Amino acid sequence: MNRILLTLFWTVLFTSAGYAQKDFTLSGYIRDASSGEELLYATVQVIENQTGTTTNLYGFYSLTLPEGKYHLVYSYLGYQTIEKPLNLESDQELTILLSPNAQVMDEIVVTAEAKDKNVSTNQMSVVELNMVEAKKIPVIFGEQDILKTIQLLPGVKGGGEGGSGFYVRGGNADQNLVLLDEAPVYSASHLLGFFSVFNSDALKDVKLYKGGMPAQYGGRASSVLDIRMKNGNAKKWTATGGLGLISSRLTVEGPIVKDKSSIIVSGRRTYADLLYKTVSNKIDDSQLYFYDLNIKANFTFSDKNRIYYSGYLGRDVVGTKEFGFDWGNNTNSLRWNHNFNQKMFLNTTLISSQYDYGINANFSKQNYDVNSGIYDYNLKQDYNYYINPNNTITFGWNVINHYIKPGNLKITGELEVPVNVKLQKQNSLESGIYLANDQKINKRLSVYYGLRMSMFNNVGPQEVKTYDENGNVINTIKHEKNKFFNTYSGLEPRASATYVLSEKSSIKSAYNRNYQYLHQLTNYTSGSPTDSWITSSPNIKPITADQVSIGYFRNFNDNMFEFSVETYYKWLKNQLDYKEGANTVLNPDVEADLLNGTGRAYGAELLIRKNLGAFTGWIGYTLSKTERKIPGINNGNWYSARQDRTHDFSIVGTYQLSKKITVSGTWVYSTGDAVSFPTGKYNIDGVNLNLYSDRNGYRMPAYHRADLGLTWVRKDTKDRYSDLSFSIYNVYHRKNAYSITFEEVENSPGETQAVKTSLFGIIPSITWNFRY
Amino acid sequence: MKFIYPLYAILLLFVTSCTEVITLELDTATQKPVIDATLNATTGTCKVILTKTGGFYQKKDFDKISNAIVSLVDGNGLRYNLSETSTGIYEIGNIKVQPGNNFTLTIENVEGKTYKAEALTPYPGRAVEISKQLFANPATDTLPSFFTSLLIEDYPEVKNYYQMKSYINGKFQASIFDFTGDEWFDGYTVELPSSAVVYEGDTMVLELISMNKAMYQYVLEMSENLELAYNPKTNFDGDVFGRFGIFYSDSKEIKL
Repeated sequence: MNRILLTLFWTVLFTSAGYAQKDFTLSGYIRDASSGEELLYATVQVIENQTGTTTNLYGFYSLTLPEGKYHLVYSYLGYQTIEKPLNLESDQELTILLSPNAQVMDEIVVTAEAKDKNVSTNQMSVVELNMVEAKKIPVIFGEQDILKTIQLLPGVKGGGEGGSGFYVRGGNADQNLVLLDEAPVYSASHLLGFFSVFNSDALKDVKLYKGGMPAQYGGRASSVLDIRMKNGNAKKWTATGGLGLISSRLTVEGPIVKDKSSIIVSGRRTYADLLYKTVSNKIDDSQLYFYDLNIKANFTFSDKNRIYYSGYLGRDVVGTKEFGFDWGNNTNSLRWNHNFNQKMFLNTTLISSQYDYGINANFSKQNYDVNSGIYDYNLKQDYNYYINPNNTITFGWNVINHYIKPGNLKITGELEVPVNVKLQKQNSLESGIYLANDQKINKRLSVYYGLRMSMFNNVGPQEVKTYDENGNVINTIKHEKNKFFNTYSGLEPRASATYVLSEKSSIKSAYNRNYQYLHQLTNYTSGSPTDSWITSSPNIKPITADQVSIGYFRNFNDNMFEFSVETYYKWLKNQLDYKEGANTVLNPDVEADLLNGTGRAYGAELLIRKNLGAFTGWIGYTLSKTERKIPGINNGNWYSARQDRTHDFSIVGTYQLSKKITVSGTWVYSTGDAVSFPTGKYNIDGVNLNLYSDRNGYRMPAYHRADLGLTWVRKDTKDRYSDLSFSIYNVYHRKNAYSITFEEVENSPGETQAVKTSLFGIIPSITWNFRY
Repeated sequence: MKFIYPLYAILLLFVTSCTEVITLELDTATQKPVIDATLNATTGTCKVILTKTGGFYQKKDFDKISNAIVSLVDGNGLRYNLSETSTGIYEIGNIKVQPGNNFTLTIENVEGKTYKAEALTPYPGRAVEISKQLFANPATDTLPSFFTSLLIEDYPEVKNYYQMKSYINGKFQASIFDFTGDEWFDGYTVELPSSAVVYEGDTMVLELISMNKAMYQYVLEMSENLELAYNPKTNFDGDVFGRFGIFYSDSKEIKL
C-alpha cells in the first residue's frame, strides 16, 4: 500500500514539474444558458497546448495553466460550442453558459464541436445517455424509460418483457449499483419490470459504467448506473408534463432566488386501474397503480458553498379489498458542495435509502400482514483536486449502515395468533476509502489509476448459526448490541489507459476489482418485488469480481461516425443461489439453504454511432457467454446463466424530417434466454412432473421486435412548447415468448403440451407533452 | 408458506397476454423407476405405485413395474407385505399407526434393484371449517368468484407440516400447491387460503394433509418443478424418482 502511494506521489510530481512556476488557475461552472442547470462532464479544451478537462458531477471545472494567452473551447453534446479567448495573468473564475442547439444566440461563436471524446477520453465501457435524444426513442405505452433505453446499447441486457432488472456483462441483476443523486435505489422498476422508477422529466444525466469503474464507486460487482436529477430552472418558473394513455406526469421548477437557488418537483402516476374501472364494474375495489414523486432543491450560500436536497418517493400498489400488496423506494440525499479554493472541490453527502414491501390478506376470521425492508444510511465525502491539466486526483471515503428487516408476519383478527414471526434483523457497516489520479502522460497516453479499500462489518445484536451439511444448526453464537463480530475487507484496484493512435483512433484498456457485501436472493427467473436482501456474514462471503477489457475506438467522417469494439472477460466468485428445495419464505435459517459458486463472462461489443446531422442513431452488437458453476447445481458442472444470450443486436435511428417532425425507430434481436426444458415426465400423487436433465440446456425462442415513433411539434417558442408523440410498440406484432410452460392437455389426462405465453403484441400509443 | 404467491396472479391478470401451444424438439431421457408410496395414517392403508418415467410428448399411460416385492416394517419390527392389486399398484390395509411411529418401506425386484426409505408418522391437524369471500377478479366472466380458506387446528408442541389440496366439483386441482409448516402458529387455529378461484355454483372440498417432513419437502419441490426446473429429491436410497410419505387426512366441503 505504501509503495503504491509513493509511486503515485512521484508520478504526479514528475508530470507536474513543467508547471512549477507562474501557473494560474481558471475555474468555474458550465451551465445551461436557459435554465442555469449545471452541465456534467462538459468539455473544456485549450487549443494552444491540446490540454483540457471536463466538468465534474456538479458542473465544476478547474484548469491550471502557465501564464499566457489561450483560446478555450467549451462544449457539451447537444449544445452550442463556445470558443473564448483568455488572457491568463492571474487566477480567474469563469462560469460559462451554453445554449441548447435549437436556440442559437447571436453572441455565440459556433465552431466545430469537439466530438472526438469517443477517441480521446480516458474512459471505456461507459454508456452515456443524452436525455434529449433518449426521449425521441419509441417506447411501450409512450412511457419514456431510461432503463429500457440503455438496454439498447451493447453489453446491457434486459430481463425481458415483464422482467425487472438488467444484466451487465454477465453479472446478476443485483450486481448493479443504481444511484439516484448518489442514493442507492434497491428496486428500480415498477409493475414487475414493465416500467422503471425513473421519471425522465426529472433527470439530467445518466451514465452507466460497465467496466473500468472509477474508484469512488463501490459496493456492487458488475456495474454502476449513476443518475442525476435536474437542479431545477434557476432563471424562471416552468411547467412541463405529459398526458399519456396509462399515465400522466407533471414537473414544476423554478427559482427560489433567481440564479442562486431553485426547486423542482416532479410527479407521475399511472391510471390503468381507473380506466379499467370505467369499462368493468367488477373491480370497484381493486387497485393497480404506481406513482413517483421527485423533489430537489438547491441553495447557493456563497461562491464556495452550495447545498442540495434530493428526494424520491415511489410506490406500487396492487390488490383488492381482500389482498393488498405494495412496495417501493424512498431516497433522500443532502449534499454540500464546497470549494476550498480554485483547485480543491469537496462534496459531502448524507444519504438515506429504503426499499420495503408489505402484503396483507384479509380472511373471514384472520388478517395476515407480512412486511420486509432494507434501510441504508450513508455518509460520504468526495474530493477533487485539480493539480494541473495533466493530473486530477480524486479521493474520499464513505460509511454505510445497512439495516435489513428480512421479514415479519403478524396475524390479527377474530382468531388472533400471538406468535408474531420476526426474522432476525441484520445490521452492518460498509465503509470505503479511495485515492485515484487521472493522468495525462503525454499527448498520446492517458492513464487512470486508483485504489479503493473497502471493509464490511456485521454488527450485533445478532445470533450467528453454524450449520452442518444437511442444514441443521450445530452451534449458535449470540453477539451483543453494537458489537462488531465479523469483518471482511479488500483492496479494489481500478485502472485504465488510453493510447491515442491518431486524431481519429485510439486503443483503451481497463481493469477493475469490485467487492459486493449485499446479496439479493431470488427464486424467480424474472425477479420479484419480494426478493430479499441479505448481508455477507460468517456463512456468506462477499462477491468478488475482476474484469479486464480492451477496446479499439475510431471516428470517421470528421467525427460524424463513432466506432468502437470492446472485449471483456469477467471472473466472479462467491455467487449465491438457492439450493433446490430451499424454503424461501420467512425462513430463519435461509443461510443454510444457499449455495456458493463461481461465474465467468466474456464477450465482444461493437458499436457504430452517428451523433451529428438530421439522422442520428446507432447499431450495437454483443457476442457473449455467461456461465455459472455452483456445487449442487448441474452436478457441479458449468452451465449457462439464464441471461446468457449469445447474440444481442440493436438498431436505433432518429431522423429529423423538418423542424416539426421527427421520426424514430428501433429494432432489436437477441438469442433466447438459456432455460431448462423437460426431457420426460412422471407422475406422483396425481400430478404430472417434468423430468429435467441439464440446467439451462435449452433456449427460449429468439426475441426480436421493431418499434416506430413520430414526434410532431405543435408549438415551439421561447415560452411554450407542445408536441404529440406517437409510437407503435412491436410494429409487426411479433409474439415473443414471455414464458414457456408445460401442462396437461385439457380433457386428455396424461397428455402434456408446451404452451407459449406472449405479453405484448402491437401497441400503439399517443402522448401529449408540453412545457409552459 | 406459499399463501402470498397468489397475489402475483392478481397483478398478471391486468397484463394483456395470449397463449399458444407450440411444439418443441425435446430430448427424451433414459427411463428410470418412479415410486409413489404413501401410508395413509387416517385409514391405515399403504399404497405404492411403481411406474417408469416417460417421454414428454408420450400420450400413453406410464409403464408400470410388476412383480416387485414390497414390505412395510414398523418401529417394533412388525412386517406388512403389500400385494399387487393391479399392475404396478401394491396395497395393504389395517395397519396400526400412531403419531411418532417409524416405518421402513422396502421395495425389492424393481428391475433387479432394491430401494428403501424411512418415514416418521406425523401428528394430525384438524380441518375445522371452510369460509368464503367474494373476490373482485377482473378476469372473471359474469359469475361471481370466490376465494376460500380452511380453518385448521394445529397439533401443539410438535413440528407439523401441512398441504391443503383443493377439489372443485370433484376434480383435484393438480397445479395448485398450498402448503405450510406450523413454525409460525404452533398450537393455534389459523385460516389457510386456497389459491384456487371458485365460482358461484361450484362445490369446493379442501383436504388438509398432515404429513411427515420428507413428504412435505417433496411437495415443496414439486411446486417448484415447473418454475425452477429441477427434479424433486427422493427420500429413497438409490437412483429413483418419487418418495415415501406418511400422512393424516381431514377435509371440509362447501357449496358456493
